[in-house]
Amino acid sequence: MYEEIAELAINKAVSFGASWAEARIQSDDSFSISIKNGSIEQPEIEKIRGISIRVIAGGALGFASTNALERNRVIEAAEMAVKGARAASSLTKEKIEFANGKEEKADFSVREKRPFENVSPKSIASLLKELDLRVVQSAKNAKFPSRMFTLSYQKTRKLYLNSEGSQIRCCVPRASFHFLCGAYHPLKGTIERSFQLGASDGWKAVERWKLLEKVEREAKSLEKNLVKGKRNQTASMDLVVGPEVAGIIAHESIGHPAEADRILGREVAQAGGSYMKPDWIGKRIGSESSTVVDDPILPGSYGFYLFDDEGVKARKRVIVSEGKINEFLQNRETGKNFRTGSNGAARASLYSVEPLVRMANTYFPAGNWSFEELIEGVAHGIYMKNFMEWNIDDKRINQRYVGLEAYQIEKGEIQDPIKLPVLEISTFELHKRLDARGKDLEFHAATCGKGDPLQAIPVFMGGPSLRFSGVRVGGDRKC
Amino acid sequence: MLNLAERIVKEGERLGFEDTLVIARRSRGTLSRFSDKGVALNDSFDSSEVSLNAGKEGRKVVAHFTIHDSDEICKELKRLPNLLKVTDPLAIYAALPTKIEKYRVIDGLFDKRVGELNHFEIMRDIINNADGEKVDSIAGTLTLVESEDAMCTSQGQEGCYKRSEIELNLRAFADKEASGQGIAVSTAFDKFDYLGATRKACREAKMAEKPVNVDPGKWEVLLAPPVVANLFGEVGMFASAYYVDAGISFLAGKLGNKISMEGLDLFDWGNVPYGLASSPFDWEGTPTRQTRIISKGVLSSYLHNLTTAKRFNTESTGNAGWVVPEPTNLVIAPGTETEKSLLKKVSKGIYITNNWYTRYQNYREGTFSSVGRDAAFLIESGEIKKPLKGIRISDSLPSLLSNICSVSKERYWVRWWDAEVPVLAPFMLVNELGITTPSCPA
Repeated sequence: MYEEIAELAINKAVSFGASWAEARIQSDDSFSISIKNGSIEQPEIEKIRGISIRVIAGGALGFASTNALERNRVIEAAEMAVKGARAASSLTKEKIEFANGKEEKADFSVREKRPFENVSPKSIASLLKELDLRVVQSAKNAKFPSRMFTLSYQKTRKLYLNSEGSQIRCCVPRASFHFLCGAYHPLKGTIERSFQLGASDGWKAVERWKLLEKVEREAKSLEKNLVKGKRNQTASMDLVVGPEVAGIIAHESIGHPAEADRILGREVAQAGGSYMKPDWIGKRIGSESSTVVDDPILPGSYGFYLFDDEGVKARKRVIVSEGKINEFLQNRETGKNFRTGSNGAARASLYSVEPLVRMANTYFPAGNWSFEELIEGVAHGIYMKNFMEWNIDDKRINQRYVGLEAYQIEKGEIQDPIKLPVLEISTFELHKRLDARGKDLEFHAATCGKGDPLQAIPVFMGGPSLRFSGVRVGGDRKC
Repeated sequence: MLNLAERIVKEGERLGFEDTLVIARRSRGTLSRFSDKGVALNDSFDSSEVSLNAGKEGRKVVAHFTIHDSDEICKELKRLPNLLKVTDPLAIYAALPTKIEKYRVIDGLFDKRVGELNHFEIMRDIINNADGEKVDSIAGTLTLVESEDAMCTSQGQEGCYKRSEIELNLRAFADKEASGQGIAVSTAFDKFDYLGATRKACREAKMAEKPVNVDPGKWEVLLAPPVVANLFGEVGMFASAYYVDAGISFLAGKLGNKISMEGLDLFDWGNVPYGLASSPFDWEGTPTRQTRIISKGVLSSYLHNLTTAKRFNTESTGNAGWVVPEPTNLVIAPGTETEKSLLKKVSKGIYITNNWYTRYQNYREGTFSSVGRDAAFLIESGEIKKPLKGIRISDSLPSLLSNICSVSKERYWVRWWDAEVPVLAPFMLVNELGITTPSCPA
């Protein structure tokens, strides 16, 4: 039935005058249960389904969406898309064209060995209660007055058709866990930790995460940092960051600026532009240790897909190779503009929004150094295992990461906890100072935002431990 | 939409729910992303959605359906009783009120002209006007929305209203590193000053050419309305009793305490005329109202729904979302100064016109940083001297609030991509605000 509706949308759009058309019917079903300070909150379910039609007419792009999957409403939407594009063409100086006109046929699904839907809400609530209790009982000297944990599940089904004959069907389930916890000590104040776990999988992912052990470890680390942590004295030093920090660095300072729509200024009124320029392929922006890739086809990853939302086959993208920009993330429009073609980076979060150039799973690949070797080489420095506060400017140059679990390193050994060390640095300085990558590659889940209306999409960010030489690390609130 | 809401409520009753509240909404409109090169995308949308909060025997479940087929929604509802059965009773269960409210009509909520506008003509006007301002380029988003909300409860309460929204977010660019932002938002076309926003974005972009670095430290800072809106939108969220109760709000335990200067009044105003988030009722059917969050510098109230009100032994302030009470429209009372007079007061300071990416180290303490975006200037002897770059506000909200020293009488409605809560925001002068830069972290 949905094929007929999608075909109708495309045929009508073409008959109304579109030179190219695509239709995407997308359904997102989700379910979540949370616990707040020991009390289970009301469960939430959500079902979102509709069709979007995107066209090129008169050299401009038109887009229309409706959740009424009825013939007359779909025809109306197709007409709106074409009319909108035609009207836009009168204002458009550069005609929009797409690369990659290849017909693709595919059907891919992620199979859940243990479907999340088969797990009773009571079992999920019981696990959340156990997690809450484990956190409360894990501390000796601190209390945890703020505890909010959520287990969520989302199943996304898409049917994509375009006027070039492509037809792609997919179904991807995603499980996720959100953790927010604040520790308190009467003499030391408070400290908070927030993180997310995620996977393209069902309940097996939750079992793999070993949440009871994970939250206990996190709670103990929070307590240790709160009770024993000291402020860092601002100075230039070597810095080793853990995979979680490596991931956010890869995502913010390399992944986002490599999005070709930003480079062309198409996102500049919202999520911003980019320091990367169209002619920067081959330009050095970091040391030879700085390599960052984005790979949507990683099995089980939170950002997993095999075909993007423009019907282009996905592949691994090496964005920065040994310090030099290798390729940008491209969709069909920017791929035509750059004459590279798309590399399958177009993603849309819901049926109602246009596909944008997005990351999938962005990370520094593993290097050759063991964690011990990275630390051994530091005479005086800091090990920043994870972070809480972070942000970056809209050109992706001026960034800040505030460490949470962090330790002093002296003479090659990890010492006392350090409270909230601050790395505030430019992208170029940061990647120039990267001198070693560990072997301990890990991925961490996140929800990335871009576009207007804001599109939140699941991604992995990752990397091994990284060592930066001679960077200025603050944290004493003095300059 | 009211018929749809009533049908879903009846289905909830048939399934045995004691308390069912349904909101049905239809939204239609256009969103265009454009630049001086033309329209990058024209997006037309039309969707209907149904949300419900259903309760029984101390348990509740929340469901959202952005699907059009009401038969399918009714079929989906059959999942809810089983879901409810296997969950625990809530620590606090607030039943829907049985008293039937009569809702007030809010002035200026719906302007039928918004749905009739030719948005391409507006974009053409903006592009032509920017062309005369001699900037390098512009880029923006223009959104026009008409929506209709209907609410119905199992206790017999019902209501409906229409709202129109028109929103422009524009950036202008000059030189390599300079930009300015203009915002125009309203429910009514008459109050939508899109050409004023265009001129402001272009003027500030030109003024921001060739920016220089500034020393980090504690500065006297003049915050423009977009910055005030971003940061006070955060204050509004922290005023939610849900976050206070969860222990993740810096406002916890401060009710009745002086947290800002005596001249500062902050309201949540759910039925303010022409308010972008105004509605006659909240998502529990409680009539919306004006709530003083900060009164003469003293924290006066949190924002409540029925559940948090029961928890705090007070009444709902009409701020219910589905689970978490949320700010509606935030209004900062006007001061006595002007933008110019505030500028004159500064012997050496910084003027920040826009910010984004506000993130927290610690919600309980309100420690945060937020990155400067678009034009920022060094002020010396009451005058703008040079444009600045690379700045970040790195401080805490309690400190920022306590260091506010003056507020302007000019105020502007602000809502944009990174300031989602509509705020009627003035210019604001803040002493001793922490500024950091990439060269010297702190």
